[in-house]
Amino acid sequence: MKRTGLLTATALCVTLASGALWADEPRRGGTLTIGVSSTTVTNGIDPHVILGDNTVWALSQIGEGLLHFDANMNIVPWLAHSYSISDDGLVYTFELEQGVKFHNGREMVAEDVKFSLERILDPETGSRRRQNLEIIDRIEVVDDQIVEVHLQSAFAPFLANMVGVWAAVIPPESVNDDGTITHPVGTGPFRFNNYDMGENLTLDRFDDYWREDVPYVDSVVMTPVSDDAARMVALRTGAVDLITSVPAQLLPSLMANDDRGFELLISPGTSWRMATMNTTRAPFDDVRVRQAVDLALDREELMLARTFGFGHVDNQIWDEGSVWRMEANLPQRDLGRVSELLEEAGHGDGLDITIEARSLYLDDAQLVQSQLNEAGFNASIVVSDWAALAERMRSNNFDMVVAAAGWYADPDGRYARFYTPEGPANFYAGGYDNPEVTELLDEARRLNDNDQRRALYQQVFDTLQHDVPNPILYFAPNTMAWSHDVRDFRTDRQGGFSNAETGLKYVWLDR
Amino acid sequence: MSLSPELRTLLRRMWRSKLAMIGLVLVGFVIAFSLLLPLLMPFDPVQMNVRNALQPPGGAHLLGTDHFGRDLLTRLAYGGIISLQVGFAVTILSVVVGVGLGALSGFVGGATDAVIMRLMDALMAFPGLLLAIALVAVFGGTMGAIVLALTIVGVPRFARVVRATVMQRKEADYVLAAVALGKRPWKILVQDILPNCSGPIIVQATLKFPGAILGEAGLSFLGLGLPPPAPSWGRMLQESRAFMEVAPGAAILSGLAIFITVLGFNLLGDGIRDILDPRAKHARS
Repeated sequence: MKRTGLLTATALCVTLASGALWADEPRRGGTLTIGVSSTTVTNGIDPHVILGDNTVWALSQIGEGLLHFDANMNIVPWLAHSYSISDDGLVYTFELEQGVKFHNGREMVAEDVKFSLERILDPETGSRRRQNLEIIDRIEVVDDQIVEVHLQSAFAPFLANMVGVWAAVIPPESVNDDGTITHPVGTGPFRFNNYDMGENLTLDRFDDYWREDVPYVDSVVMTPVSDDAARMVALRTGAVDLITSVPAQLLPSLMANDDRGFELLISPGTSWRMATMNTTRAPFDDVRVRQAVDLALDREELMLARTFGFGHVDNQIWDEGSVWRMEANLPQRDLGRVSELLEEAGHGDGLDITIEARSLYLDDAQLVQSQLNEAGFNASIVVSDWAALAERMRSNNFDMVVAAAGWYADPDGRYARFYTPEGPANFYAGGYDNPEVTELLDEARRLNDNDQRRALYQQVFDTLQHDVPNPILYFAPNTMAWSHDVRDFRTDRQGGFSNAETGLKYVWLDR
Repeated sequence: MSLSPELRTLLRRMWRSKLAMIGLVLVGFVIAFSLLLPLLMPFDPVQMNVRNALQPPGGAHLLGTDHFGRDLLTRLAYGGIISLQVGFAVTILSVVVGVGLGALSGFVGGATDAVIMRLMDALMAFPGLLLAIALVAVFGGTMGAIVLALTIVGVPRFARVVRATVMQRKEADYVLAAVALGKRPWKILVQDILPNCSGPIIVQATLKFPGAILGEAGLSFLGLGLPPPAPSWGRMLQESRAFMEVAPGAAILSGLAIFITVLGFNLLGDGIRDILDPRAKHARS
């Protein structure tokens, strides 16, 4: 605990040091080059079909939704400057910002909002937000600036699901005849210029952006640099101005060195690693075996080994500052109890399991393997290609998979996605299917009072803590580094950078 | 089967060749290191101790620890066993299969020769490591699969060399004499021809050995070798690469282990070839 406090203090210092520089007047011009820690900058260019955090970041420069999060994760108006909810919770009325232009020069009208939402709801589009917005009954255009969204039933998470590029407003003329998008157009601060899969994404400044003054830089080039060492070299030599993800093993020495030559930001991070167990077949269909795994894990050790103390251990994704924080006890390693549970489940003389992971999470898998084997399992590791592994996870053909996931604004987004059979991320929870949980989640959706909803989610959380289909291992820190002449790069409370008050639109180059 | 004249010449000349002797010393060192050290070291090569990770050399851990707190020296030694196992298994299998196919091809000739050799040509058309990657991807990352993959890659070269030599020896006077005496063809092949092909086979085998070790290291570097936590040198190099800046020991040492082993076997192979190859001999003197 003491160590965490110290780290937070140091991280604050780093931010404060940059804060002193922010006093300067922003300057226009220049090209901002970003080294993204992945093999691809974005997994596609259709704003409505989004796969992964990098893609969200890249496409949120182009497309924007009616609502946004602020730096403290509160929902704030964005393309809709105000909204109201009918008393029965069935009708959401959005009043659009005036004079918002698309990149093609046309002004955004309510008809575009209707088109965009209907495109997300169309199964042909393949949007991963479809499930979150399926509750929409119809969309009515009142006039050019006002649009009404009618729901089939009251649905509390609706506003959270309307946030950001996931529900971007795009013009119908940017969609090809076959329904695909090859040149995305939106209202965002940057215009799409060029992208080839696995290569650079080039974005140009949108001069008619509806927010005043911003953005400052002429263009943004995002380039994939998946190799840790290569990314650090690129930053140090000035080949890129900003990088995502500084290797954790470098953090202790970088933190101690004031002359490191670049700014460094370490945030608590929202990306969590998990050990998904296949709840549909032996041996993990037995809750006792899953509990044994949960209690065999030494999370502190996992976190230390993988993040050098810069990550944190938790068993829920909402931090202390969130209204959705649940009452929880962190599971502690208890090898005695593990043997009892294994004995009860009939695996007293060891249990053979296979842990699968893609190479990115291989180190996590190795640690889990080592800890499980200490506790009486006999685990072996298989390194799998992600596409093939995801396919097998969907068809429930695996034992255990070590994988990762991110943050969700609303508990419905997290729990319904993972822990209901229809949820798009249900395979990440090993095909978990508990009618009691499904019912509670259904009920919570229909409530508008957050305290009542919270009580139901607490029940869901407690059930899940008992059933542990995919125990959380640890949270990795969110790290970024940028050269001194990149100014006003801000992130939100948790290190995210595609929100209302954060991100690339505010960045300017002092050179 | 007594030692052939070539083999005897080889052994005698080895003593005089500096290169071969350096190679022999290096190879001897690697074998001793891999076989004896695991008996002496108190550490388990897969036991993690995260709170003791990335220790510098010295103290209880002579060469330090890796990013999971495992003793590097112990892992290097166990890695040596894996490399040597692969090296020996692949070489022996390649020799057996390659010599068999090559001898058959060269001795029988005709359609048999054409079929076998076109098959070998097809295999040789693929870059070695690429073919091995494809095979391991199909068979999975087990010791057997790795050995099989590298053997399939290694066989064609043996088959070709042996075929050429057998065809040459087939015309020798002692073979013609044996034929005239009415000796059975298979006996001629095994008793008269093959022993006289031992030179090229030995050279090829000493060159195959480091190739197999490098192949295994390459596969595991690419993540296709034995699954973790097996302490294969290639995987150790790959895993520790990310820690080069904070703890360069692991990456340097695992790279050095591959380097010394391959260098040793290559020097040995080169030395033997210099001794056996008449053309090289003329070039030197």
